Amino acid sequence: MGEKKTILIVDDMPQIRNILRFSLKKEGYNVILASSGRIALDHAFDESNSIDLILLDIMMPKMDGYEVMRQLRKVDRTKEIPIIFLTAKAQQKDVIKGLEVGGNDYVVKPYRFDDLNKKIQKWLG
Amino acid sequence: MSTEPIKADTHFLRDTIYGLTEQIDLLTILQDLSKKIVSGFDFDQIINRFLDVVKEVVNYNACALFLYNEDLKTYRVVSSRGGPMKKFNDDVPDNKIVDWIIKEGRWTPIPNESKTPPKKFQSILPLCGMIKKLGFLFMISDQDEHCYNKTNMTILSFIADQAGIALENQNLYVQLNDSRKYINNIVESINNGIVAIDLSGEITLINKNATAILGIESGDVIGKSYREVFTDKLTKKIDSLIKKIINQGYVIETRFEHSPYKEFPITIGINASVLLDDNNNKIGIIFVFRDMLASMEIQRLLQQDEMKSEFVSNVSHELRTPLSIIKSYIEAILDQVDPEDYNTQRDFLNVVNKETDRLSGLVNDLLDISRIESGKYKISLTPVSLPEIIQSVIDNLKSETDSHNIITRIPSDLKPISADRDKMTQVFINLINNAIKFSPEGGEIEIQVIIMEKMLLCLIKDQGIGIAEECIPRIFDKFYRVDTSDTYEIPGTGLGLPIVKHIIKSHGGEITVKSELNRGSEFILSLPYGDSKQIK
Repeated sequence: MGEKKTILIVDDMPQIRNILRFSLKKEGYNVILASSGRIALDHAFDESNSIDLILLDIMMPKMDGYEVMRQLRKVDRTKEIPIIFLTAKAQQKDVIKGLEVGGNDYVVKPYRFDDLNKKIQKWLG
Repeated sequence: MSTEPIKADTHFLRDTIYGLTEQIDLLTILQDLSKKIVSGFDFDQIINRFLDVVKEVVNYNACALFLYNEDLKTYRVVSSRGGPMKKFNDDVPDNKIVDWIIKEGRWTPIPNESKTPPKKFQSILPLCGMIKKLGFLFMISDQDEHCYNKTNMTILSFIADQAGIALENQNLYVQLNDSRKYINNIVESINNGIVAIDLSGEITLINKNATAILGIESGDVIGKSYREVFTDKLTKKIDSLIKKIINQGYVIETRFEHSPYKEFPITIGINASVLLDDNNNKIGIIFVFRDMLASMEIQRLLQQDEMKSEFVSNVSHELRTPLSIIKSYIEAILDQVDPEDYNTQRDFLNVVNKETDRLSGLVNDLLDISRIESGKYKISLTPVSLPEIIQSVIDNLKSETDSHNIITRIPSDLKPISADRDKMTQVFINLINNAIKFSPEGGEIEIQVIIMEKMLLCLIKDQGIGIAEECIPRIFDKFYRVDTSDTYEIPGTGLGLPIVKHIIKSHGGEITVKSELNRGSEFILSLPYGDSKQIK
């Protein structure tokens, strides 16, 4: 197995960040946490981080997931990073909007960790 | 010079004069006949006159007028003389002969099949319209063929032409009249008021709805200027709109407070556009008046519908979030946490426990909201002691947090109030819990009751994060949560305050809030007090 891949988790709910960190670390990933869109962008643009994949919540205060996505897609350094929306917004129009703004995949809460992990593996190649 | 040629010339001249006189007579006759037939648009009248005139020329014993029926694709008798219509209909002349005669376009005798004398003379006079095949007149007469001569033929084909044109005109007139009626019905049935004026301001058309919406009492306003017919206020409005309409071609949904009857002002929407003729010349203006009440009602329903689907979407989101957390932690305990690692298991189960509480709180709040919205949220009033309720709530909450300093200032002579004990308890749980949640540890929370005339004021004041001014109007909205990253860390359904507000209102009270960001919030309840009727 090669180098450890790094996943950025963006969610305003601490319980969700914490359990994802726990589970993803068990799967052998490096994990970076962000509790808001602003912090997520700081981590993503930080040259000392090499982020391989982002799990992004949509409903967040101040800056929502769609906006984070738009910002990430504007910058060369981050525009190719696979992004999986992880959200409780389950209506079809939300899914479509998420993919339209540039999301690679979509997982609706509540989810099975196995399913999420399979999608992560798929996008990490 | 010989006399012979002169004689011949005289003969010729006399014959010519006779001929001319005859022709003049003929022309006079034809003109009279034509006048008789063509005047009038009544179908039966045209036909009767036609049959009369033909009778004068050919003294028929019986005749039947066949007209082409577009639907049946055949000729049918529409009128007959000297015999029942049915007989003629059953005894239609041979189609091939008819078609040939109509193609030829002239009066033609047809073979008589009856073998028994007296021999009858049968003939067909085709009716030719301008555009399509119209029909023919079938005639039977006692006279023999001597009436079948050139003069009569000229007269009859002229008459037939005139009758054809008259019938076609009549048909066009009926169609025109039908489409006029149709358009008129549209104008009258449309759900809006329509008024058309010409460029001088004279009303050229007005429908019933317009007279109703505008409150015009007189029905006969066609030809009058709108300035005479409309109220002064509306006239002024129309005056000001006309210039704009002429320049721009239209105005859209201009609102106007109309009060034809002083006591019932209504809001009407005015749409108008320039009326153009075939050559795009401006010939007037069409106004459409709409009673905005109806469209505002539709707007309200649409908004309600939108709010409902937003509500469902919010509920779904609110339920999914704790569910998702519960599922994730349980999955982790089952699949990933080391079975020997009791501490982590315990930590995770604690999270699950809290989220389960949150979920059941949410379900209870949702039930309350749905009862409130369906009008099934009932309160039962009994005399209750407010200080008792407040104290029990504080005692319960203190077991969860002892880091806040809760001060109560309640007058000792406070009489019981008429209230629903459980619901009033719910109000104080919500408000005091909010004060704790949104205050820093060690913060002071003050609960004060002030007795006013017939009213109690109850203040719940904290030194917490406060509410931004622009958010205050919305904090009693369902699912509204003040949008800051600080508050998102604090659990809540966004349903507590709307429920509190409803409970207070159903007790005949009011709830308001004063707040300043980072300085704290103060919720002010006012409740009826001391009214003997209140306490049963």
